[in-house]
Amino acid sequence: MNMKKLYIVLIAVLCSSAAFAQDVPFDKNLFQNQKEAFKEANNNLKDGESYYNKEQYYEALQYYLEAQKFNPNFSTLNYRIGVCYMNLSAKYKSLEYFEKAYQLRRDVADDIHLMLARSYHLNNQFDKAVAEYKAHIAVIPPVDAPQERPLIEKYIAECNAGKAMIEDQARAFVDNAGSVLNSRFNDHSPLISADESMMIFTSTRNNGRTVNGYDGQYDEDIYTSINADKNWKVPESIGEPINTQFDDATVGLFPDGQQLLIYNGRKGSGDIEVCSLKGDKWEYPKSMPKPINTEYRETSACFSPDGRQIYFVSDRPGGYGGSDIYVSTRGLKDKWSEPVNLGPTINSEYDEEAVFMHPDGRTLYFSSTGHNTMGGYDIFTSRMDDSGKWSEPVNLGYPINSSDHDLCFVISANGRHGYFSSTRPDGSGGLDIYRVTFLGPEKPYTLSGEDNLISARSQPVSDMVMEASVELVTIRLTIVKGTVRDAISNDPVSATIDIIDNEKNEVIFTSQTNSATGKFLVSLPSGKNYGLAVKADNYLFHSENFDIPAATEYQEIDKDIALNNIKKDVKIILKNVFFETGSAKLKPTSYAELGRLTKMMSDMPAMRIEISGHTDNQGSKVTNQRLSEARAKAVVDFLISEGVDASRLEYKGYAFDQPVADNSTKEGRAMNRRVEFKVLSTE
Amino acid sequence: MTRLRLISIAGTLLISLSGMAQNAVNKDSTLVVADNQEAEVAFNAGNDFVAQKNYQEAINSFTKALSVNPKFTKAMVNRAFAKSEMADYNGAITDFTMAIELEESPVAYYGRGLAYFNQNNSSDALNDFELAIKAGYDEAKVYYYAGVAHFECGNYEESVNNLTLSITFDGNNAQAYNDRGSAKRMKEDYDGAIADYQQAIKIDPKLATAYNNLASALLKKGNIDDAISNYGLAIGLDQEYVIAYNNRARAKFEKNDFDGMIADCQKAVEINPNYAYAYNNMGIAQMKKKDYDAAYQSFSKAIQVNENFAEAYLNRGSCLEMQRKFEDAVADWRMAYKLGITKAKNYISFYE
Repeated sequence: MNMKKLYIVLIAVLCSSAAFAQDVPFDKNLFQNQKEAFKEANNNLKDGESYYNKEQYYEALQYYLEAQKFNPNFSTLNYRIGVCYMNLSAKYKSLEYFEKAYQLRRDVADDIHLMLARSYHLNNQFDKAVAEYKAHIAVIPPVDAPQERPLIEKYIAECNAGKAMIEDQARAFVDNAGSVLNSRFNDHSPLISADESMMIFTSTRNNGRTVNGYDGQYDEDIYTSINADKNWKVPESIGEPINTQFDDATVGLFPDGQQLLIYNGRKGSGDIEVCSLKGDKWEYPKSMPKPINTEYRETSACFSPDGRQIYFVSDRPGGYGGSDIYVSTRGLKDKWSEPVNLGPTINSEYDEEAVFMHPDGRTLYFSSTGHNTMGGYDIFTSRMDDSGKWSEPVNLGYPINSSDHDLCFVISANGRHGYFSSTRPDGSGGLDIYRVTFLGPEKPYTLSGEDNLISARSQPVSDMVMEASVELVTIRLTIVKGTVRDAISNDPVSATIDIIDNEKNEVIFTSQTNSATGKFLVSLPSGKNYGLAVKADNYLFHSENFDIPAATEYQEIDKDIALNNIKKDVKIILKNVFFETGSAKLKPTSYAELGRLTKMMSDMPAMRIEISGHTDNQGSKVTNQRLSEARAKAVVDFLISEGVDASRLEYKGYAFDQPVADNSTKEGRAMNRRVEFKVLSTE
Repeated sequence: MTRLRLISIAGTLLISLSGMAQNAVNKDSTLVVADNQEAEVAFNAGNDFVAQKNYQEAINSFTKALSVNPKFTKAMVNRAFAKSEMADYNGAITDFTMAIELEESPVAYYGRGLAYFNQNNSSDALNDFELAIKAGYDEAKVYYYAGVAHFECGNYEESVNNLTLSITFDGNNAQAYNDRGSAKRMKEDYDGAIADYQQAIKIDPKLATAYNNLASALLKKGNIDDAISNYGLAIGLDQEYVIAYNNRARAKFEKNDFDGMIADCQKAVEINPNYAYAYNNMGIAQMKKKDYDAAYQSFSKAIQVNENFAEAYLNRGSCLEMQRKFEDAVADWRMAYKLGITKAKNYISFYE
């Protein structure tokens, strides 16, 4: 062990030693500087002992407490204060004195472990209580063991029951009924009307008579209080003839409030009496007849709701131990039947007390020191089924029941509120009346949560299963380029070029040649037939028809064009005029070319022209002559239909007399098949 | 279109008609689209836009293709997918349906199924997934979504079967394992669920949801400590994982760790101030600590966030009961009953 640990141990030992104060008896030599005070305290001690020895614990306690103020460290005094408390209502207050006594002197009394155990028990310190009970068992003289040990074991069982009940509490609020109803004396045995509008209860409060030295209480009287606007009014004595100079205690109330059962301890060993309310006056109590009352002790009773039965408590022989609950039925002429013990389900080997039947006529409430009490009397309930069988009594649980006595439970007709008597730290002193507010059924907590059970739900699903792009048919462009020049001077000409898609018969491109160079360039899809028309001011238009062969590779076509000035006898082949095969019927693809010719005629209104048709040398001369003339005429007819004056037009067929190419080749024959125009005059 | 396209191309070539222009000809640029393919050109352009994630332009292109060729099924299908991407599920469903009317298309069934799925219409989604499978769409994902749709329709056995098929096709799909675990969990096969969640985690150790689900399955089995541990792992992977925080709080309830519960719920609502479940659970923890005022505030916040939160009304009623405000408690229980919690009727009847 190192030095640091050693210091810690030493400090712990010193602190522990300091915790055990020295036992200081009332020896004047020990209080020489406080002679007067010692004298007074010693007198209090002696007076206390005088009462203590007479078992007048209330009186003894007053003196002892004064003496203890002067000398708090006298073990025996502390022990005896504890004993006083244990014999009064507020038993739980004994704990601090027993602990102190034991701390001052371990052998302060033979039964110190039992007293500690009882105090811990009454203060709900169940583990400590059980430990002390077990310590007490260890020191029980063998001769006493058969009698005492079962009792201690019962106490231990009560502790275990108490622990369980505090762990699983009853669903109820328990409140002190308040200082209006409760006094610093014993206030108990509340009875309420079914609608909770009136309470009759018993109190040992100051009634002007003599206080009892044993417990410091006056004799019991009965009081009433009215519940107005949810507040109990100041209780009033029920007065004579019910209250006497002896103990008069409430027992039971008929549901209509017209008959009151009271306890008279002076008759027999204690009898039940009944009082009737006539108008606003209570009549003299009448003793309940035999077989309800006997020479034994009948302490508690209540009527069934219909008044035909009375449930009561008696310690008469033949029961199951201690006082038991009996029932008797009212017969003809108000004669009560022989009482029937409610049986071992209800009546334990210990005492049952304070019976109360709910207005439903089936639910019985009673107190018992048996069953699974957590200490003293606990309140239980049992319900009678249709066959008259009682259910197992159920402890109303903590906080309705405590480790001390809980008695005289009554409940309102609607079951919402109950009242009972108990001694608790929050009380006014002695027994107090407590109010129970029941909370109805258990209400489990409803937790809430969720999971991401489905991964796909974390966000919108995105899965584009797209149809793939389609393959497109493509064609290769061919570059067509060339230069437009004057046919005579060879100078570049600024001209307009139209490219015609002959298949669609539409101009697909129009542009100008470069004025300085006469050059042009156009890209055209391959594999098509095109028309090319070139126009320039003061020139006759030039037209061409050409095929661009289908190509997979880049290609260029050069096309140089010579334009002729507008002057007499100049001829122009209309290369984009087409006819049906072997016919003079114009193809629509000719219209663009003829449109340009029409435009030229419009631009030059004085010009006259001849349209001539030409063929190749295939076929007869007659046929070709007719065909060439008909084709020339078809062009003239078109121009006339477009508004050109017929007087400006002539036509002629030349058959194959004026070939421009060799008729021996296919290409030559194609060139020879043509329509031309010739300028006849310009002015 | 073709003509315009030709002209456009020609325009690039015919920079000018000057002599210099000849040198400007790019020989590679002389390949052009032939005539009469306007629909195909627009369709392909739509696909190009999809590749660029420009779905609106894609839709425009597909629409152009369809204006030229109204029976262009592929364009209709692709437009539908693009609309789905734009969350226009009704539009997508219309397009898919038109495509299917033109010709049976497994892909269109699948796509329409997804659109229904995204609309949370699991029943119609399931129908389409099954039609897609019947039409020959035999892929892992269609079985996966069919499994998920079965799950959401409450057909847990069928869900497991389809997800198993999906896993057969693709054994590395962590999500399929996760979701099959969930289907098994709904069948109360918690051991099977745990095994699947664990396999999902093995495949994808960063799949936070699988840790969360594993934890919840463990919680169902009463293995609270492991549940809390796995919720923690889920949170470790995703520190904003509100659901996992809230679930861990639920697990801590079982351990009576009410302070821990409150801490987790507070974290959850810090991340998402509108997460009503966490307020509700926080209220329960506060009630357990008998801090009824705080609990009342928490339940009220839950109700403020979700005015139809039946459980919060039920719990707040119980809180009010403990505060002895019985009339207010009954009013809350009435609301809970109205919202579908039948047991609230029993709570009310005691006070009537």
